[in-house]
Amino acid sequence: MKLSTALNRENRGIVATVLGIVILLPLGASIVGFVFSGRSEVPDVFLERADPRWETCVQAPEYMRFYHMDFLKEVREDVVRRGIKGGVTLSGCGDCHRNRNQFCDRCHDAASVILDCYGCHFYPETDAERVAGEG
Amino acid sequence: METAEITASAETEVTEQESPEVPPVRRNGRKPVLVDPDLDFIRAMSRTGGDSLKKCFQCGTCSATCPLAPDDRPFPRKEMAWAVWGMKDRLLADPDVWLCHHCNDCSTNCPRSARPGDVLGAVRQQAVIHYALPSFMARWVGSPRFIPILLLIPAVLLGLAIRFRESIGSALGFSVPTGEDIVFSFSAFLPHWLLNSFFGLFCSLAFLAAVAGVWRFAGALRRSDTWGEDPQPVKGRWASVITVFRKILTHENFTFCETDHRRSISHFGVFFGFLALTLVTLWIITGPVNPLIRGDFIYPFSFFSPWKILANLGGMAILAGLLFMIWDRLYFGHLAGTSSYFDWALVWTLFLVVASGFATELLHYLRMAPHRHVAYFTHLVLIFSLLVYLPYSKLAHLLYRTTAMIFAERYGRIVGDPAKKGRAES
Amino acid sequence: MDRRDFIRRSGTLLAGASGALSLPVLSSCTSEVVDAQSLLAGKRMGMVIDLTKCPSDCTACLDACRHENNVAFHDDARWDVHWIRKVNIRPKEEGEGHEEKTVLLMCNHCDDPPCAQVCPVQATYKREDGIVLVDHHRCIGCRYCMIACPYNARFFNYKESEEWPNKDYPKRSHGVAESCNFCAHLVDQGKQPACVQACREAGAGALTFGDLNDSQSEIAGLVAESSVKRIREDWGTEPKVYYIGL
Repeated sequence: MKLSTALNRENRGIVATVLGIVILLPLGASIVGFVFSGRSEVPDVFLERADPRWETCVQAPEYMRFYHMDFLKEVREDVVRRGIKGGVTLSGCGDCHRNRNQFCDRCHDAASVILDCYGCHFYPETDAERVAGEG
Repeated sequence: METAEITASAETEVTEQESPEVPPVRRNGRKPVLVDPDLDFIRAMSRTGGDSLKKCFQCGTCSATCPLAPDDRPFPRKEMAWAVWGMKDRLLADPDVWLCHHCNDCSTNCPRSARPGDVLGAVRQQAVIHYALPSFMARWVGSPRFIPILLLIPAVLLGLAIRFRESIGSALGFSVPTGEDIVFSFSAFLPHWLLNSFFGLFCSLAFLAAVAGVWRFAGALRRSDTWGEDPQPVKGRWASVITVFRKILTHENFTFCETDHRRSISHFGVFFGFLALTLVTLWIITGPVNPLIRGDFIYPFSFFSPWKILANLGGMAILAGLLFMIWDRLYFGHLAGTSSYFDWALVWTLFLVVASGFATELLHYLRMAPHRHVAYFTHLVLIFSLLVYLPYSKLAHLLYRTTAMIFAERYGRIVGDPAKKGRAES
Repeated sequence: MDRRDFIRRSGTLLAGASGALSLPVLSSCTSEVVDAQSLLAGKRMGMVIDLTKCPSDCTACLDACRHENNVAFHDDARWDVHWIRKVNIRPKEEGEGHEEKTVLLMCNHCDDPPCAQVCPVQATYKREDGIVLVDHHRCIGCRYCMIACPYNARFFNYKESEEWPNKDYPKRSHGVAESCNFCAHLVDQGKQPACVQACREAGAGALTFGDLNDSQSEIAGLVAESSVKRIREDWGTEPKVYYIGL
């Protein structure tokens, strides 16, 4: 059907109603989600506070927050391509930031970033795993 | 200076008058009118797209072919007469100027190529300038010479707000996020409270200007002669508002157009896209008080959030509609009508707003800093020029046209539908 | 900041981080930062497989490899990945000198690796010490390397492995090609590859790993003294896996 036919005067009311409903769908989804699961769209806290035992990260927290991807990429290139080993490791993040869901996933979900590290690399979340990871 | 008298019904009966101070009452009972041609107004219209108006020889083909004009005092013939005579007060208080949807059926059928559709467009720009407060802003928005200063104003203001965010924050009782609270890098220099208060302040100013403009326009409409002697409303206030909103949502009036029927599709897309984006924006700024989206880090939404999906769809609808409009204007200009700078300014501002918005989104996903910050800043500057300059730009048509349509609905001036034509008479 | 500058800076950073500053976060890292470029230069790691000592029913090296490197095993020949495998070779002719043989096949870590030459994204590369590695971050899964490899030593992960026996070593996601890496992560720690350790523990001692350029090493002695062969030397790929009794 041609667009002009689909949008002729007789169909305008239906089309406008459908578009209006489409526009209101997110509002409905928000309300339904809130009423039935009590879930707010945005989690209160993205950031997992680091274990207070550790005083500092491998870089300044502000730097890590914005540029950890660049930093980790360079570490990766160092380790894999240039053979500079024994420094920062991906599983080492889990030594301080114990909860991967809060430390990585929630923020990445909100920022629509698909995280591709921990499909292959291991993120230790319990002390037993952490000990195993050190061996 | 010519002085002449014509009747209020604009049936172009002009006679010389010896003493214009005391016009006699005519046989048909209508009040005679003193014509004092405003040459500056004619020149202003000629400069802004109405350069063909002097060709009009008052045959009336335009009113006959107009698919929207009511039977009673149809347009655009009388507007053409007023324009030729430079009758500024009449034109600016005339609802028919705004009931016209620029179908251009009149322009293509005009035997003299006087292009009444384009002339009415020029009249609308003059109306925006006349009712805008302050009116020099509308003059600036309507002239390409002022592009640099119009863009510089929001850029400088936003830059100052970012520069002095800490003192503004302490004055307003907000804290600039530091250290642990920063999640997205732009929230450090452009926190949400700053964004909301900045745009809140200037949009409120624009809102006041819009209200003032609509107030003055409504007053002029009430005094207008278009409704006839002693007009009586045929519809309730809210009933007419609801009918007009239904007509706007369905774009019913556009569908009567024959020459430029494509505008009923392109404007439809832009309209609903704009509506969707407005709704998403309103939803975001309710964040601090909305229990459904509580939290500090409301924005940007996740890509698969229903709101983000709606916003992206809305942006795409605007973009598609705009591209359709631009294509229409560039390649079917004889049908779509002459586009003045005033028209193009709105088209390209909206285009750049959406384009810079998508560019910001893309650069954000590509994690390209500082490109995404620059794109975001540009996007905000353009949004400022769209929203805060609304009462002064062509976008003001959403104020004045809606007002005129509500008045027309209330006083039974039925536009468009042939089946309903003439019903207002009975 | 150009690349070299960054290497210098990050090298300094990492060295400083683990050494002088002794940040607590890094205290769990057992090894010091190693700049392998200088350490590995001049080495030429290789392996000698003594088939005369390799029992045909022993799978110690295969199991050790799977366990150490999380090699995907789905129990389905279409999707299985083998970094090292045992193949029975049946000669066309019969008679003396033409017995059926069990041969261990693996990546030969060629000095002139065809897989690295064809890789369009340079994911496969040869390290300074001659070990051929795959950068799985870069691999786009085009499988040119599988076609190029004359030893059929490269495998593709059609499916992701569900098991993850060795958490110290990453799995591979589906869509990347891989092959034996001589357990480079163990070699960097001064250990022997998992298969060599397992073979020794199983009592066979058929596998020997070491630096071919080091004349004092066990492997250099074996290559010099025994009658060693490499598979299809005539191809000119210069493989570094030597066979005794092939």
